[in-house]
Parts: sequence; structure tokens; C-alpha cells
Amino acid sequence: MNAISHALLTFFVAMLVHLAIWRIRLPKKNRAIVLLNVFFWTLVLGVILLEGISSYTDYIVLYCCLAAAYIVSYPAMEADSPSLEIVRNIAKAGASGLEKGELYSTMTDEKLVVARVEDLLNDGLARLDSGKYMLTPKGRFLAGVFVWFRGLLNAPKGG
Amino acid sequence: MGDNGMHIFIPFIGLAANSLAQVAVFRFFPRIGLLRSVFFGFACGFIASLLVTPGAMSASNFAIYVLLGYCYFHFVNMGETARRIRILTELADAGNGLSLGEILGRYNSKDIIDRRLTRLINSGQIRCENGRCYTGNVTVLAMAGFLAAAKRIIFGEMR
Repeated sequence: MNAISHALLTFFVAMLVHLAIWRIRLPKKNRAIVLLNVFFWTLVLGVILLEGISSYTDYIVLYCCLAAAYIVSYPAMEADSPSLEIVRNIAKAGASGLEKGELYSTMTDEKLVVARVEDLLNDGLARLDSGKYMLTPKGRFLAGVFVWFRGLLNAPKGG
Repeated sequence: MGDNGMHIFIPFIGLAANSLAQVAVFRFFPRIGLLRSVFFGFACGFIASLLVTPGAMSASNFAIYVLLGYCYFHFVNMGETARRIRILTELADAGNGLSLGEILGRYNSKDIIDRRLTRLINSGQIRCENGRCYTGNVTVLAMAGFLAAAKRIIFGEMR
């Protein structure tokens, strides 16, 4: 087996562990951290069991890239993407189409914004202080990275 | 580069070229659009990887480069579409925090829906006539189906 098959096998094991944890008891908070732990400890196990294989570095780097690709994709599975929801609702309406107003009435502030603000609190990126949402140092760092990158692209605020 | 373990840096050199090319092309030719700039950057990064590879590129290096490119695409896309990142940048802009009402004054469900409708219309995924919207190209609809299936596997049911 080469680095690719070893990395895929380890990734598959990590996915099984991830699925088992999520199915048995879905973590309430910091799911990204739990996910990182699952991938990290599976790698540690893989590194111990597969010690001495050729292209060891390729195996570790490839596995880390597979894990990173999954972790960055995970939020899209957890939170409903508004674009996908719009497309799904329009498709459900069939050939007669969907009135735009129906989108505004079903996709509310509560669902699209307030739920994401709650996520920021749960992930420790923001805190609620006397009725005001403030950034934590972690949140300020993350916001800074994106403000810097959007500035580099000369692009306006996203969202 | 000789094969003394240094070959593992090749995909990272490709990623650096990818991000430099993407930022440069989007900054100086914004009309190209974000998605096309990402594809352009990916191609440039791949060519750069080939140029620094002695002989043929290994399959594992190719896989690592593709995965790194995918992660970079997600990073760019998060700045463009992620609601959490937009809320974080609004909180960073405000400095002294924002109440929920103030957040919704700056960013709300109507903004979110309008931005997405514009993107979906521009990419041909939907078309809107006389206040009604209809399904166009089915790429995003297929993606919605794929994500729904992934959700069923991970969470066990539709959430």
C-alpha cells in the first residue's frame, strides 16, 4: 500500500469514529474542536501502527489535508446554506415557480442571522455582555484574518 | 528538488502560487469574478508545482495539491458568503459591541436573500420573472441533494 491508500484508510477510520460519536451523542458545543480531536488521535494511532512504511511524510501530510478538507466542508452540512434552501424551495414549487415574497416569509432573521449569532457564542467567538455582543480574542483574530484578506482582494464585505 | 523529503513542499509552493495568482487576478481584474479567479489561481498553482517538480509529479503530491486548493477555495468562499464571518466583521467594525437589533440593522435576512438571489440569477441557477422564481441550471440543486444525503449519513436524520 502506498501513502494514498494508507491516508485514505486512516481517514476512513477517523470518519467511522466521527460518525459513531455523532450518532451516539451529538456534541452540543465546540463540534469543530471535537472533530479536530477525532482526526488528530486517529492520526496518532495511524502513525504508531504504520511506523516504518515508505513515504511516511507523504502519508501524514496527505491525511492532514484530507482531514482539513473535511473539516472546512463540515459547517456546510451542519448549517443550512441559504442558497441551497432557496434553490430547494424553488424546485419544490415546480413548474409554477415560487413567489419571491414566500422566500422572505419563510427565511426569517431568526433562522438566518440569530442562529448564526448563537453559533458564535457557542464556539467562543463572541460573548454577550449587558445586551451587547462583543468579540472574544479568538473572534477578533478570526475577524482580523478575513478583514485583511478581503482588503487584499479589494472586495467589499461578504455575507 | 531532490527526493530527500523536500518533495513534500512542492504542493505548498503550488498553493502559494495559487493564492498569489488568485489575489492578483481578482484585485486587478475584478470583473473576472471570484469563482473564475479561484479556478485561474488553481491552474497557476498546478503549473508552478509542475515547474518545481523534477520529473513527473507523484500521485500523492498531486492529491495534496488538489486538497490544499479545495481548502483555499473554502477560505475564499467563507469570506464571500459565510454569515458568521460577516457578523464577526460587523462586530469588529463596531468596536464596542452590538445589540441584536443593531446587528440586524446592519445585516438581516432580506440582505442575505437578496444577495443570494442575485448570485443564483447571475450564475443561471434560477431565473425570476414577474416576481416569481423558477429553477434554471440544476448544479446547485444537485449539490443540495448531495448535502442532504451527507446530512442523513452524519446526523442520522434530516435536521
